Amino acid sequence: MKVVISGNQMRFIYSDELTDLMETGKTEVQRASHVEPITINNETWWQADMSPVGGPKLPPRQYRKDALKEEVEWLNQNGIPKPGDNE
Amino acid sequence: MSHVATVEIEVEDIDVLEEVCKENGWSLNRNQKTFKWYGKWVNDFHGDTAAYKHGIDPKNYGKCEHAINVKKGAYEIGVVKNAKGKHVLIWDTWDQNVEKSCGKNCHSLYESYSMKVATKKLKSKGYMLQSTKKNKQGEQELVFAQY
Repeated sequence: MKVVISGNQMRFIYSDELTDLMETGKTEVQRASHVEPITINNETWWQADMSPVGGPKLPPRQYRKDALKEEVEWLNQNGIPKPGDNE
Repeated sequence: MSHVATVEIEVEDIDVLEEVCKENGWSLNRNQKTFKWYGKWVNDFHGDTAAYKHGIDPKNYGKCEHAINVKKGAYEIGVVKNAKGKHVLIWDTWDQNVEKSCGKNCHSLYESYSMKVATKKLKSKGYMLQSTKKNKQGEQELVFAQY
């Protein structure tokens, strides 16, 4: 589990068990991605769209759980960007 | 379907603040009710960190709950309660010793405090700090594992 800190600014991927961290100051929670079904050769696949944090659409995956896992990995590998900072 | 939480950490854990000060060779003087500064508001600073923009009435400048001394004889940092009852750090930039020690806008002081508070909170939830590294943006990335 990763937490990114710069000065008094902290970011992390929201999880119910991390609400204690949210009590340490003024908090904002924003959507970081969308994971949506897409049709490929008449089959339903799943794709993570990282555009809310200025990222790409990740390669489609056959299973939703794999798309969700990759989405979290991408956020962690890219410093958990703050949604909207890219606008 | 993830969401990102962004927290602007407030300085509320004075024990942690004291630890940060000790580690950096500074002293947190608890219950010191005034901190050393120019001594008179001359209405010459209106930047984002100006105390009056953080809920501190200029007539109360120099008053505090606790004070941080970073160097003998230098101006100090006041730990001040604002109008909302939240602690804020206030200092006078006229003497540059504070920002020389704590970074521009006291960035490194805030960062050390934030890292310690996050680690303390997560430890109480069963997480242990595994590693810390700076990313490309110069931010601290802390990795925790559940034990």
